[in-house]
Amino acid sequence: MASAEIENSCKPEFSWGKKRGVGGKKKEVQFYESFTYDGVEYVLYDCVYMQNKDRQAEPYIGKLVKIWKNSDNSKKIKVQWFFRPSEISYWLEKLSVVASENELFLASGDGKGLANVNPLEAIVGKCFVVCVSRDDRNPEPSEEQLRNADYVFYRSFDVGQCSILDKMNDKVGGLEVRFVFNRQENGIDTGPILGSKVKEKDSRISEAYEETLQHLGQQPHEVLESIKEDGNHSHLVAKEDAEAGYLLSKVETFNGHAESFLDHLKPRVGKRSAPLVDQLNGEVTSSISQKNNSADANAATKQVSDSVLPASKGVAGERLECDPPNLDDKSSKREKLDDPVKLTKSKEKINIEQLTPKQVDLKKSSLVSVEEKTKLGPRKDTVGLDKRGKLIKDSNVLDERPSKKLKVQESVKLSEDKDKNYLEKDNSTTSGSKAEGSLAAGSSAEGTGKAILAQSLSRPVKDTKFSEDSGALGDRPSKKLKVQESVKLFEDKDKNSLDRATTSGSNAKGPLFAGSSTEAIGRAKLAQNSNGPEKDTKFNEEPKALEYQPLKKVKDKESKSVKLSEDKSKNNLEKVNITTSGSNEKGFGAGGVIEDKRKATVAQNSALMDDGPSKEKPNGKVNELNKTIAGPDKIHTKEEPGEKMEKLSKSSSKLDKGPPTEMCELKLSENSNDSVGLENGPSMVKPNAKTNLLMKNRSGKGPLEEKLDEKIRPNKGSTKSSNAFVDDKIYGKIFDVTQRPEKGKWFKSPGIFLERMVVAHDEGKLVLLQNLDPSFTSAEVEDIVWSVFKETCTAKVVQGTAISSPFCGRALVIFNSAEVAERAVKELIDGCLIISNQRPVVGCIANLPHLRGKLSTFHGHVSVDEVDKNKTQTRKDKRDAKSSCHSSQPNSVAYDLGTEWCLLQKRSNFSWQKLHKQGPTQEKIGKVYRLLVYKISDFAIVLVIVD
Amino acid sequence: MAASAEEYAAFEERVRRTVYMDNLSPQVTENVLKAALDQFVNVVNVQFIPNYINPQSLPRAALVEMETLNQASAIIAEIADSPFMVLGMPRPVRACAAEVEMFDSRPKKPGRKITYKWLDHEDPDFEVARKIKVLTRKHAAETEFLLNHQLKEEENLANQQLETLKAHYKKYELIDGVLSDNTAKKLADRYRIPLSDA
Repeated sequence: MASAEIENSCKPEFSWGKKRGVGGKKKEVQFYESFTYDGVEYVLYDCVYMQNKDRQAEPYIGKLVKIWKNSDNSKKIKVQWFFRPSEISYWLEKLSVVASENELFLASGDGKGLANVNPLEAIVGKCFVVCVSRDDRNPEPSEEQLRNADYVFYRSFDVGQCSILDKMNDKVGGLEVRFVFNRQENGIDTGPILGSKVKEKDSRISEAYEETLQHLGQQPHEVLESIKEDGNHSHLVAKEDAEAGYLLSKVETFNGHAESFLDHLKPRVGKRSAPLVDQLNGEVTSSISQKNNSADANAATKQVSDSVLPASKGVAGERLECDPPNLDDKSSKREKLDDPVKLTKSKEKINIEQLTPKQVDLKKSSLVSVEEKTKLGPRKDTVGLDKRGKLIKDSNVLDERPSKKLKVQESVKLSEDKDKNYLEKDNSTTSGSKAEGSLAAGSSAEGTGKAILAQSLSRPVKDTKFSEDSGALGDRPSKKLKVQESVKLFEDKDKNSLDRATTSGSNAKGPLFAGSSTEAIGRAKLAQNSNGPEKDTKFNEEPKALEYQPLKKVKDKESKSVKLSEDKSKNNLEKVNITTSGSNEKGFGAGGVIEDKRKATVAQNSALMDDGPSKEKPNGKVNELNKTIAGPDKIHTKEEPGEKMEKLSKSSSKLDKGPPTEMCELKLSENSNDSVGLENGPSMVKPNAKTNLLMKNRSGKGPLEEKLDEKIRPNKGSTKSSNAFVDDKIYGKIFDVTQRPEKGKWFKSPGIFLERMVVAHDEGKLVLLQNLDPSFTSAEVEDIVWSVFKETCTAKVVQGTAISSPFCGRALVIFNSAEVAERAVKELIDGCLIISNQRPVVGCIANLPHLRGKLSTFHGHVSVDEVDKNKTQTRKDKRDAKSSCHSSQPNSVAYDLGTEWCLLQKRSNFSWQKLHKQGPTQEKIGKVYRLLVYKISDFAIVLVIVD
Repeated sequence: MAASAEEYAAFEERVRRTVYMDNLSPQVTENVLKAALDQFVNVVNVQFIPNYINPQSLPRAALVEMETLNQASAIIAEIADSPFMVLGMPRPVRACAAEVEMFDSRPKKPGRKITYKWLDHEDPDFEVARKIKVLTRKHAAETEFLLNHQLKEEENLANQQLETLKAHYKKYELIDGVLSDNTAKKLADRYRIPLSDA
């Protein structure tokens, strides 16, 4: 990575695009959202080729995560790297990970190699990288996008743990996951999309925050990133960053709280909440204090939260775009909610937008929320109030079933939400109305927390959260708010604590609220994780620590714990789960919850039909997190899914039993409705399908288990499919060969092809393709190779001559490595690649022994000196004589000899014509396409003719 | 970089102005070719076709771009009419109209959309395609065989001509020697044959 400053002068044309904000202590740093360089417009989060130090080597690929201009007018970009499989082959081999040639791994985690700040001039071109993750947050790429893609990716490489993560956390290496996935709108290359505009705005804001933070000279960025990362991989972050350490400690404390909560919960179902709340408060305060300790961290968290909010908004916007129908529904719902809430129209709007996205994830929740939304609306309002001590009111409101539903929805939506759900369930089951009340309180607390968070962070944030929680519109927002608040609360923690105190004042609600708030926070974090990567990560860190402690924490902790202490959080979670399960046992899926801490999340998910989708997402997130965390995480995740499935089934069964199941069902039914919309629309991503399935399953209460199973299967299928997507060819389907994106000029191999060819030949990476359309150009062959094998190559069409077959084009292709060449050839031999429905391509490793052979002599020019050695002609004379170019006259010996040559030429021409005489008859083969069928020339005849 | 129709039309026009020449000695350079053809036409550009996969002994080939279409056709007719030798005798060069496939840097055919698909192994067409692939390889082998055969033939012809030339040379040397050392005169006297025209 070229770190050297590059002078702006003597550079290709350049112009800045949209400004995003300013940063730095003296506002001397200007951030930008886009710029035009060398005639190409680059927009934030575009993928670009970056100049490699070794100009012969392949360029680096990175994602633009920040663009700014320093006070000295130097243009800088921050890029988060993609790794080529070859770049991390050591780890891939170690981890037995198989990667296709055109697959990239996004840098994640924290550590060296995640991202770098480079001069903007180091960009060599735009790279089209498509995310093929099955994550339902990821807009499914269109076929065209896939065809156009230079590379695809769906996994990330944790630079800290040196592991491959199969799923994306809410934040990937500090980058909100929504920026990791494909843009919502049509074009990958088109910059901001309509829907994304909102996001972009949000993202801009968030980015600006981050940038400002960074520039403030604090470790804010790191903190933020770490926070985010912590959210995703709090443990990792902790390991790496002191701040992360703070976060971790917080998380741990949270975990501890969570444990304590769990313990408390265990003893008292209804009462639990109170102690829990108290503990939570204490924890919160402690965490806050800790946070306070690191003022920067707080600021960072704040900023993060702010950024998260926009991010979430953006996500929501994306989601909205994706699920317009849902959005509408959601929006209507939200509007309803909004009316009661009245908190912020903008928030609501955002929420609405977000809701659509969230609905996809949270459809269930949204459904629930629909009913609950109305309730939530009040809750939100109350939440808002609660934020400022109105929490009590919220708790009151929360006491109502809506709050429970909201909680449930939240749990469903997020793994955190799941936790909440469990809690709620527990509450409901354990203390019936009280439990509900407590749950409500919890939910209210969550809602308040969310509201607070949203308020504190910003309404947009709420919206994002809400969008995530769209299912649990009001609830989720409130939860999100809480989360945000919690995040912010580091500052707001005091407030929260106050709120909690207030809630605690409301006794059972209080405790519950506290628990719920923590949960809510965790949920919010989860939601954030699912929704806004940044927020989630940030929130996850803090919230996870706080709220997550209960359920999400358990999950997160599990994942985190895998990374970090693995099991503190898990233990906590388990405890929580146990406690919750105890409560749950009373209620629906308590047992299920209890059974699986991780499962608990699953169980929560299962419990909430919505959870199913959410589970998938959370799981996916968890998995991603785990993956990001490390291989072990993967294992955990893998194990978890199965367990989760079991748990889910259990929980589902339990749920069926209990009233919560009804709630779930209701929610599910709602979700199912939403999901239907989702399914119809945007369910491009398999996850959505899964969610849909889940939703459906949920809708069918009885079949929850079945649904779960289905979910599990779909998940597996999705992973497989995703893998297959990359690795396997799709048979029988006709694809268009798309143009390989233009690389930077320097990327074009400067060397003479022949030289490269000789080297490639010796290295075994030179492949001869035959039976191409003779009219193909080299560039078209490269495009074909790119489209078919997703490999870059240098191709050269063998130029036709008088003796070459007019029907069979040949091309020499230099692959990047012998392995790739062998793989391609093997595929061509084993399979059957038909180009343009006509020609099966024949490929073989080129074996051109003559390349190294000595130059053979040219026959036919009889040198005079051989004849007349005795003559005294000087060499110079001879040369002059030879160099004479003329039409031979009939009276010379040369004419006679030349005529013999002409005769030979005629004969050979005839031979070639005979050989190449193929009845290029287009014979219909099969029903689908025509192949060029050659009439086999009779070589014996040719020989006769030749002789 | 989809070539526009105009660009491709311009390219096709260039193709028509271009003459493909082969059977060129490796020693032939762009300047030699230009000098050889300058007596007939104005050469705009000379491009040698690199020989990547064929035996090195294969004569070189070049694409010679003329100024006008008429010049191209005139050159082809001239070279076909009488053996045209460039930088060496007696093997003449051969010329014919250039074809699109002979050009290295050619624009893409406008409007062409290339598709691809992997045939399913179960597909009945798979077997057909497989046969075609085998056939393609067979054709390649045949081509290589014929090429080698042709090269051998050329070598044989060259050797034969060299022998002939040497024999002729020897004959002329002998005659020359006989004439120069008065042997012929003595023999003529002996057999009373007038040598007035010797």
